[in-house]
Amino acid sequence: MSVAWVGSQPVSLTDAIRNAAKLLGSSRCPVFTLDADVHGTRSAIALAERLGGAYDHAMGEVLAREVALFTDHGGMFTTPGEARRRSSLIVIVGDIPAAHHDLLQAWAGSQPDLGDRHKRSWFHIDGADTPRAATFARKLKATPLRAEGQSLGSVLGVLRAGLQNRATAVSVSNFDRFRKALAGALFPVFVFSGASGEAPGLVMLQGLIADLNKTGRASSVFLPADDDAWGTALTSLWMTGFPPRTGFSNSLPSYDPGRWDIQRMIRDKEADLHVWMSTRGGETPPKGGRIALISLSKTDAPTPGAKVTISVGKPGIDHDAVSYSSRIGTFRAVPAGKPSELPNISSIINRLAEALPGQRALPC
Amino acid sequence: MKALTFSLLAEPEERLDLSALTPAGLAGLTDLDIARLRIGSGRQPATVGDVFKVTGRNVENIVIEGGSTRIDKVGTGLALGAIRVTGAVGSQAGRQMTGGSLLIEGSAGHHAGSGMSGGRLEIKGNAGDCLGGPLAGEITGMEGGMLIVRGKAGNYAGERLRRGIIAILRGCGDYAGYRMIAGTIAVTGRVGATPGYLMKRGSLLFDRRPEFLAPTFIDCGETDIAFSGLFDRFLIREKIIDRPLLGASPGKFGGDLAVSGKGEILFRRGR
Amino acid sequence: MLIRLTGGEVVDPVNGATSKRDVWIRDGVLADAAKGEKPDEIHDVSGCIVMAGAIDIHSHIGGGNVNTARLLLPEHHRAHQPRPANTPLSNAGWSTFQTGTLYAQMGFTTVVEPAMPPYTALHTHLELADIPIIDKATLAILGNDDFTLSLLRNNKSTAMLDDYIAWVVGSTRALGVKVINAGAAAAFKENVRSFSLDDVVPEYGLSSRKIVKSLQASVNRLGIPHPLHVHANNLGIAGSADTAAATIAASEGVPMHLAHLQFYGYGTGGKRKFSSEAARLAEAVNGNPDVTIDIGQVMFGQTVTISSDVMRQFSAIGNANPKKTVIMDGDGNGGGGIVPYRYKQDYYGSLQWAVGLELFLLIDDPWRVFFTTDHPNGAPFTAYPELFELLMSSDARDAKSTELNATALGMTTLASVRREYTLEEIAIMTRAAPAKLLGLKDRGHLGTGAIADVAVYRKGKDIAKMFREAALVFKNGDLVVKNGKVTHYRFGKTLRLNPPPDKAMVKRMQAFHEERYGLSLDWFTFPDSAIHREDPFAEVPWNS
Ligand SMILES: [Zn+2]
Repeated sequence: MSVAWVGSQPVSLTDAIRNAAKLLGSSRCPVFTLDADVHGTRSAIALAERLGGAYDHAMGEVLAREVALFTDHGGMFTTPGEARRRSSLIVIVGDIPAAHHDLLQAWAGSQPDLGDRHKRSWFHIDGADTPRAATFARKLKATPLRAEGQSLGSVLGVLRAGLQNRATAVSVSNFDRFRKALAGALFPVFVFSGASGEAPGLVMLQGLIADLNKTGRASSVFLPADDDAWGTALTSLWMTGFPPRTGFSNSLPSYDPGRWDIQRMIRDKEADLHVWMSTRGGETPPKGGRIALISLSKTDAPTPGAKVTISVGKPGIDHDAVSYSSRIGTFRAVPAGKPSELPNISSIINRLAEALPGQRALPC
Repeated sequence: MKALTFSLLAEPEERLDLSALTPAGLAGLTDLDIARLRIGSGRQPATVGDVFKVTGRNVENIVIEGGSTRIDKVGTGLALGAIRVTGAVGSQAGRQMTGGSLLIEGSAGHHAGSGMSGGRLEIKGNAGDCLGGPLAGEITGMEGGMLIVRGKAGNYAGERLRRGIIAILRGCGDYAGYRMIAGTIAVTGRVGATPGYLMKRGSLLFDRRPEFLAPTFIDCGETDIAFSGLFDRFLIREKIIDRPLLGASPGKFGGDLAVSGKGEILFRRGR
Repeated sequence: MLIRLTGGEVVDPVNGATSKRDVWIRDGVLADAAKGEKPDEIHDVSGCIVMAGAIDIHSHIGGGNVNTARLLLPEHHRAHQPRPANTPLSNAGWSTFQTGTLYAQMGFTTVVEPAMPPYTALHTHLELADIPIIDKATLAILGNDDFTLSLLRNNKSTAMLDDYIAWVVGSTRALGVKVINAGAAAAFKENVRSFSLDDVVPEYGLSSRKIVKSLQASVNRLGIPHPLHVHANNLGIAGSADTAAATIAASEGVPMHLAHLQFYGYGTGGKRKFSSEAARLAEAVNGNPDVTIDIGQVMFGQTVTISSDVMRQFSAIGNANPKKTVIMDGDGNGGGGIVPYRYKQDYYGSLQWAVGLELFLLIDDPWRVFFTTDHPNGAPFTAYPELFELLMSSDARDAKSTELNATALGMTTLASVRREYTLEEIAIMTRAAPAKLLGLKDRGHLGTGAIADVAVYRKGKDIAKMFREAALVFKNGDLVVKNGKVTHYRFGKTLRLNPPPDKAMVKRMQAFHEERYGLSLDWFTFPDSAIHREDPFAEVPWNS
């Protein structure tokens, strides 16, 4: 079975590396779309730095929104473990990605053993713009908080105003029950994700939580829209000081979520080489902007349109990985689920770096 | 003395940072110094001489001829003098300007007037998102001066505005005046969803009733017209608009009640 | 590989008086003079002083909270091109890469990250492993987690507590144990807003004192070289000197380290009810030979406070500058708060600055007082050279004092204290004493057999400059810095204890995590291979 291609032609891995390195070496502005575990990310960022490139995650759009909540506002947070053990009142905010449904259902099947130890009750803040959210919330028997035709951001605003006893133009269903539940719970927790709604709504939510903390306690659990993307953000932060959508000019990192939006750079033809990682299987590189493409993906066929394709394994499946897990709110060492011969991204990137003019190893 | 003129030779390959091309940044430099200024930031960064033909001498009066959506940070930190761009610009035009005048004859990208605290920035075309707004991580937007967009503005116009005036003549996107703290934003034309979301103070002035208002704004009925009349006269005098924006009996919403709720949205009735 | 440093003035108080002598390095280790052998490298270091590499015992350089601070504050180190020198925190050592680089350039070769939440140990170690050049170590946080507090509440045996602590230290690869505002993080989750040494955690009926004393005793029994590292209650509050004095008294003849004492040096005197109690605390430290402290010196300017003391950080939100914060109610010992702050040269800032210096100067024994700025809480670690200058020159203190708030300084003894640290005292405080405190016998001095961590400084009138730009730095005998600039990157190790886990405790831990978190224990532990570096750890022996 082939693991490397130049164009549509199967080649040896060494040949593919040499071809890819040639493209990288002569690129004016290479951009990297990341989809890897911590170690793949570390290598890719180190390579981007060496080449004066820029990087973003494959889920960069929603990741940027999650990052913006922190860079522009901050907030109050707790971990999934603490919420499970301590919170008798869980409030789901908008649409929570399906990847996290198991976690929330596990909470539903357990009792808090710290704090007030009340039987857990559930609410769901819903907006006209989050139509998929209600189905899952019903499974948890969550009491809906919504107002006809109002967006999630608006409903959050109405709740926040209402909890401060200010009148608003519309009212939210079950508001009195909600207020009572909040008053009776020692540590209510709001669960949200970057997919929950637009960034201003997330800021409003944090404002609401801050208000509650003036006299009592409350917090939030942030469940990233994509765990791997969040892991990449954390890794990027310690490596460069910045989250993704960072580029290197004069070997200094600069962060600018507009300027280093890789998809935009490809569309606007600012980039001339795209290193595209895809380990989830079955994905195709984003369309638009035909620039040279190096594909590092879990595939058994050359990626259409790629000048070089190298097949790589998926972290945590084909090889051991270190990944962010929203189950524990931090990194976890994940043993390979189904070990295979497919190389990990980190090793391929290190070989690419060594094949570049100068032949220096990467620092990771 | 003829204006110091930078004529764009061709569409640049990479994004350019023109923050150095201001009267203060260029004062005292020789032609050669100017030609050698590095304005690119990629692996083979361009210099002024690679991209522009430079003529004229007067650094107090700078003209950038031709435009490109790739020229960023035009007029950064401008304190006095004038800069005029005959075409479009990229992001962050007029970033942190404190005085002087910057005229963009084409359209501007995102974050035009970001963090400006004085001077006058006029954009004849459209402006992108976050007009006058803070860059990622910053927590204050525009803090003074006058920002005029003759075309449309994108989303988040006037985000976290603290002082100064923003006028937009052909409508704007969603979240105008998002988290604004004070200051005034005047818009003629269609306004997108939830203007004034999370605003604490300040005024949004519209020439029509906003279509999608957050329910945390409530109708205050008719309002004292002294201010609106005064402001209309000011906008006309400054040649920003040619007829009154608010009219004789504007309506008023107060909000955002989710926060302290001391902001106001004034709008012209009957349209 | 044989290296000879010749002509330098060797300041190595552990091994004798300061003198001009050669220093020899053979294969990464300090060696006796090699007679008749030709060295591979000779460095003429005349006009320089030669010291062991410096050791920082308390600097928040990596882990979840530090990373959250990076996330919260991208504008603080935005690399505007070219990067302006005066951007706040532009030289604060923000990325892992910069951290190692900037420390090495000042002649530091070992740094301890003092606050690792056990559940996020892997994150901490991933970051530490990416810090180049220097060796690292970290302390595991305990004292707010349900397991510890339940053991104490249920009066379980001290042996069981010891087994648990040994398991935590071993599985998290820690060098010691830290307790942070014992019990307060747990109490805060139940809406308790202030917490002192004898206050009680609601859920458990345990006082903070009981938690501290139990952990202190256990650390001592276990033979963990570094005594319990205590972040006391009431940090930063006017009147906190009482708490600090009570905590010092509670050491009761057993070793205890008190972190960043400056932040507790405050009384309630004066018009603003905020005064210096440094002299009193210094006396308490002088009178308790089992107590060591570090300062947490405040220097002026923009910084960000990063602390697992979530109750304290929550109460500081109102003073955030810029106004954005992250407060995290973590699992047990995790969590904390990130609150950006700007130390101004006003009454409060001036008083804090003076309190730190008073403590430095009034505590007699340089073996028991450690320089820190509690990076980045009092100031970024890059402020150390200026701090050394203040300690070594009363003129420098006087000069700085003229810029500050006179009323505040008038509340302190600073002007009357003329002590100046000698180079030998600096060497003790920054080399020999930290090595001793942490149980690192292989470093902190230049004796034969020690690892060749060597810092060479060019002598000059400008003390700060001298310490800011080391002329030469060797890490394990590798030349890594020349003339204040890193010339060679390498990766050091993370120093850890490695107690064998008690089998019964591992079983208990498995059951506990499955029952309480619904997850098997391997979600919370990791193999060395997860770090992806060859031999990322080095073991430090226990006290016997
Ligand atoms: Zn600390």
